[in-house]
Amino acid sequence: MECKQARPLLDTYFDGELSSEDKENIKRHLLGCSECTSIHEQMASLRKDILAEGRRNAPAGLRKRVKSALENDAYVPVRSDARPSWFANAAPAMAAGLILGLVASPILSDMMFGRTDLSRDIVAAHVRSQMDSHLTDVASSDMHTVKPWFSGKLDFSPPVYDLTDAGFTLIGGRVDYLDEQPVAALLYQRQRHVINLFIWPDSEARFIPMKTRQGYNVLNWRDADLTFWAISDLNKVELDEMRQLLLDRAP
Amino acid sequence: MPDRVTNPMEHKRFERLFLPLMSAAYNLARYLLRDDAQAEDIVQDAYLRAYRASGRFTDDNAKSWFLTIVRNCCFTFLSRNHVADGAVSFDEDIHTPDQVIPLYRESIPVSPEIVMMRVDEQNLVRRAIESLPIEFREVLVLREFEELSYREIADIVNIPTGTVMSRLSRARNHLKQFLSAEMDQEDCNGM
Repeated sequence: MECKQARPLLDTYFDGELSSEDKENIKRHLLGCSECTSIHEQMASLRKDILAEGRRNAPAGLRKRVKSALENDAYVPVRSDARPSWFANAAPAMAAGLILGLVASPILSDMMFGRTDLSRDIVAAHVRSQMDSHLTDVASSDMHTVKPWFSGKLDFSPPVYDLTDAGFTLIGGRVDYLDEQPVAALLYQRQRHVINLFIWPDSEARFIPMKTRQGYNVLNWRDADLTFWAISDLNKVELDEMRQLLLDRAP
Repeated sequence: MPDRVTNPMEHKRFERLFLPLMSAAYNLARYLLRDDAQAEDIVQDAYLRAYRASGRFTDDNAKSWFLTIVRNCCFTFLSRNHVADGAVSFDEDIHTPDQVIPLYRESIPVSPEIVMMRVDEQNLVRRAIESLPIEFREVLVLREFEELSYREIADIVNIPTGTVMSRLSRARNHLKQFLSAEMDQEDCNGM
């Protein structure tokens, strides 16, 4: 075998992906050709460098976050082969039908996600707040400044907690208008992500699971007679962490 | 919150199969996004996606299956955020195999934090890999870091194995040239 034929096969030889016949041919060629041998050695030293300097283990913090995210995820992993066979056969069709139906039917999705899809308004309010840089009417990281600011502007007193120690910095508040009423909007920041937290009294026991709209994660929960809507471009897990923190602080 | 139903068996199975793949996922995301912090977010997101889809995982190759999800999350993120991959796209059919792969250009907007990080690190190897166009970068990372076979890489990236082969070979050539050029530079500066 000549260098001309050997060269294009060197990478594949190096990766152990050559057929046994080609492999033998290259092996024999390398024995007699110092130039190709040196190219082959360079590949090995490059691989060594790449592995030694380019690769890094996943940070311990990430490992912890992922584990807790999985543990707290409401989804229940079910293996498809664990189901009865009739279900396994019918399930894909049923699921496809359901998904199609959901996508195709705004009415049905409104039924599921609330009578008028509030999350759409939430997204709009969030985007608006960032667009005309009208994030806050009261800019303060002090909850004892922000909370009293709302009195006289709203007929309820929203709970305000500073979560700076947990990485969610309170940056202020403003009054917004949602669900046909004035609502409290609290602004938090996590690294570079802004989080709008909308709060208002809601007697209807609506609950909307976490969803993603236009790339934003929207999370809704209730506490006492208040409804809370958090929205951000922050990932779901950390947004959920904030919800948990707020629930923990509540008396 | 709805009551959480737990299924400890399946949860354990997922952890056992997929948690050991975290470094593989992290490195793939790091190099596709060229941003360590973002890579962490994406990996976390990928785990949740995989978790929710794990009922559909029947294949025995957990690594390929999971890395496909990680890769998809990265590309979705890049396109959603209109992150231009700095490197010029490269048409394998038009360019001759000997031509040098066009370099990632620093003039493409990169956040100041990333630039700072790059300068701080002075990690030559990392810069060399990041200078590859994304389609070469991913193939290289999957092969050199994860030792995946051509077949596995082809399945993840969705290209023929022949293309895996040629991209790998060209990526290595590019790295060699990049590194030797940088070494020369350093030698000059040292004088």
